Amino acid sequence: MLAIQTNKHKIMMKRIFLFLFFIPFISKADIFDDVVNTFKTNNSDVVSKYLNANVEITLLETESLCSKAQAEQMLKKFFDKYPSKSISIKHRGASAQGAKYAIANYETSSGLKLRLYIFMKDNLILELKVERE
Amino acid sequence: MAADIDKIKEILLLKSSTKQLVYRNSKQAFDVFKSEVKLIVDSIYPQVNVIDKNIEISVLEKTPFEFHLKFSGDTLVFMMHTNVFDFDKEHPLKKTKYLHKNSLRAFCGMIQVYNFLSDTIKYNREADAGFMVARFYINFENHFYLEGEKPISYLYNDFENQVFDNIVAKKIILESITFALNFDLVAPSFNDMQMITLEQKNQMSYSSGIPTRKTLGFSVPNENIDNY
Repeated sequence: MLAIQTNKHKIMMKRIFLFLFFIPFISKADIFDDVVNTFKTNNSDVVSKYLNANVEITLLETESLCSKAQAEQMLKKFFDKYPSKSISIKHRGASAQGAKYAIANYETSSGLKLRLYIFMKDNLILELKVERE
Repeated sequence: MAADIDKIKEILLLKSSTKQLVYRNSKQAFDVFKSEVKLIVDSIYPQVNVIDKNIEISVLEKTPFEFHLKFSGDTLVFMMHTNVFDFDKEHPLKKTKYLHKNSLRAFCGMIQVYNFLSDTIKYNREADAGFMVARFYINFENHFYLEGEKPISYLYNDFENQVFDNIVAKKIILESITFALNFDLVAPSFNDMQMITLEQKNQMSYSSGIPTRKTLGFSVPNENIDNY
């Protein structure tokens, strides 16, 4: 009984993965151009319109799962210390279900090179990471 | 003497800056793999869940250099090595024009994909073996090379012209998942398993199974297996 059930699971999983091969690949996700533009303003108020009610946020050494308001405060401090000079998106991807991500190079006005990672669902940021390169 | 020092300085500067670039490309590629896995889970989970709520599909970030994709009874472990490697001098790639023209192109970051049984990780069965499904190399030009089990090994063999992107990552992940799903546990012969020591028995009780791998081992039924 257990073997039959496991086999059914495997057959179902194989069909779903086979189906995924034929889903058109989405290489462009326009929202990230807008999101990155908000980061270029170095203004947390502007970025906050894309923040989810709860955000997983990592800003260099500070890591937290916090509310939108807390994330906005963290971003304000971050922008004060590390204002962006240039941000360029290097990779992005999206699923048909509305999840998407972008990985960008973030250079501060002092020349520090950082990596920006954004994961969104339904056009809201669920995960935001800034790490040293 | 001064000439020797200058030569060392030149090599050091050239190699170090190349290796730093390789590391950055490698970390970025690893993050793309992780992100594409999240998107795949996002696509598959609702489709599977609506049919059978007992099938778990999830991503677990262990460290900045390791994450797990769990699906059904299998787990794919993605690991990025933090060092940069050169190919062995006997490796066929070393004979290509691409590497002859610039030997720095041989310096690569490495991402490995292993297939483990989910129970191996769940019960921390340290003696169980994982199986390498794919090994991914990326250089400072963002060109990549892929080794793997068939048919994965046939996917990408043109190091000179292959440039890494998210579509490549997605293809490698989907092929790795398909390989793992088609690679089933095979029970060893009755005779091979007829005698066990008390130590092995105790080990089975402690970690829910004897040391297991897909080609030779078997999984022992237990009260939690219905979770899969």
